[in-house]
Amino acid sequence: MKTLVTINGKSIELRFDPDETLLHTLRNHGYTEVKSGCEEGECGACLILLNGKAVNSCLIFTATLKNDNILTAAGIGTLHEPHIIQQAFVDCGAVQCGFCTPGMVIAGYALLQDNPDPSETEIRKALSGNLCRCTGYVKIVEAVQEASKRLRGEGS
Amino acid sequence: MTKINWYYPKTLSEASNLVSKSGVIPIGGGTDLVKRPLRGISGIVSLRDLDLGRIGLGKENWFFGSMCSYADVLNALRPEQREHVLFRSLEYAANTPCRNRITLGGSTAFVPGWSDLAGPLLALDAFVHLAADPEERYSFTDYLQQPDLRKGKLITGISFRNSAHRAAHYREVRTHNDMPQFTVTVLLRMRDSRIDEARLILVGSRERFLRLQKTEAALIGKNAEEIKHLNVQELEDIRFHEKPGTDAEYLRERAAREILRSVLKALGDKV
Repeated sequence: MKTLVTINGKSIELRFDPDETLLHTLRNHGYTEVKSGCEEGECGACLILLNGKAVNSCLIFTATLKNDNILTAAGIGTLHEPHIIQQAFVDCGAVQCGFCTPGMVIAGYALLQDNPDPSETEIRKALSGNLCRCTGYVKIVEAVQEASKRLRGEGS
Repeated sequence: MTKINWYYPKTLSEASNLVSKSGVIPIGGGTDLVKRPLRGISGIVSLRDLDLGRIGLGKENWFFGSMCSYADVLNALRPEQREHVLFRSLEYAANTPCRNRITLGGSTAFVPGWSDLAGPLLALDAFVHLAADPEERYSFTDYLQQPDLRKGKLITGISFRNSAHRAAHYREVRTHNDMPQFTVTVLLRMRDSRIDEARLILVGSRERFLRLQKTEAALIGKNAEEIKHLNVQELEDIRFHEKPGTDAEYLRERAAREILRSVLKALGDKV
């Protein structure tokens, strides 16, 4: 099967099997920043923005897509031009093994789009679908708080 | 490769005809379906091109289209209805990305034992709307009890009466985004600071969905002070199946305790 979508601003034709999830389709097309973790919607490693909403790509059949807009962590910023939230993750030491980071970045990015000044509780709730085995979450929450400040022009 | 045909109907009647065929099922958000083995499924009907996302918060009745996600419901209720039983129940259901994807239609059709939606729908005496000409409407209770209503039918929405109430929803979980072992939904209507009508629903027990009618009756005409020592265990025959990692007797005691705590919480007690 095939379908046309926009991924990180580029129009892409995806080819896939009828029972294939978006996670695998994206990875098969080179978007390996979308990580394969639990594959049942628990860990958030495969998080993407689909039409502006954070969703687990492992829980979506690719066949349900048509002219949709997808944003992955690589579409938010690049190595040399990171997005404010990506830079905040680096500056706050919120990255250890890095496997959960793309999903965490997407979850934080989605939250700040809706709520530019979230409380710690709101941040933790927004990240509730993302698991991290390394950091204990404190640095990740701090990174989202720092990104929030910087996006509002208050950060260091 | 699994031989599955995908269909993208443009009209409700086309979709209805498709799902009435054996082995063909509709897909809403797909969060449950994608995890299931697709054995025996020959076709999947995408509902994305149908207008099933309508939300109507009228004075008398509320309607939510079957393709509304939990997040859509929460966003619609957030400004003024944060105390509503549906807001309270869905606010912590699953996790943020799943709430963006799980649909009311899918949840109503599958009604898993850990559902955060079933309790509120039962408490609210909700109706399930099914595609037909003319449209069919059944109480959610009937929908649960009559398997024929679920086979080959397409849910178009959920509706219930809009009325003021006090509510609480408890999820027995170890972490926020755990699937609950059980849920307790409490909906109270008050008159002169006393309970005038009570709806208590336990989801996840051996019966899956249990309305706690004896406890409801014991609450009528009472205020918070008068029910603080109510013994729910004596009133209700609550039983759980043994589940891995927990104990049926423990769950029975937990459920009884949380039913009373939820009632008191709905009444505004700090429990």
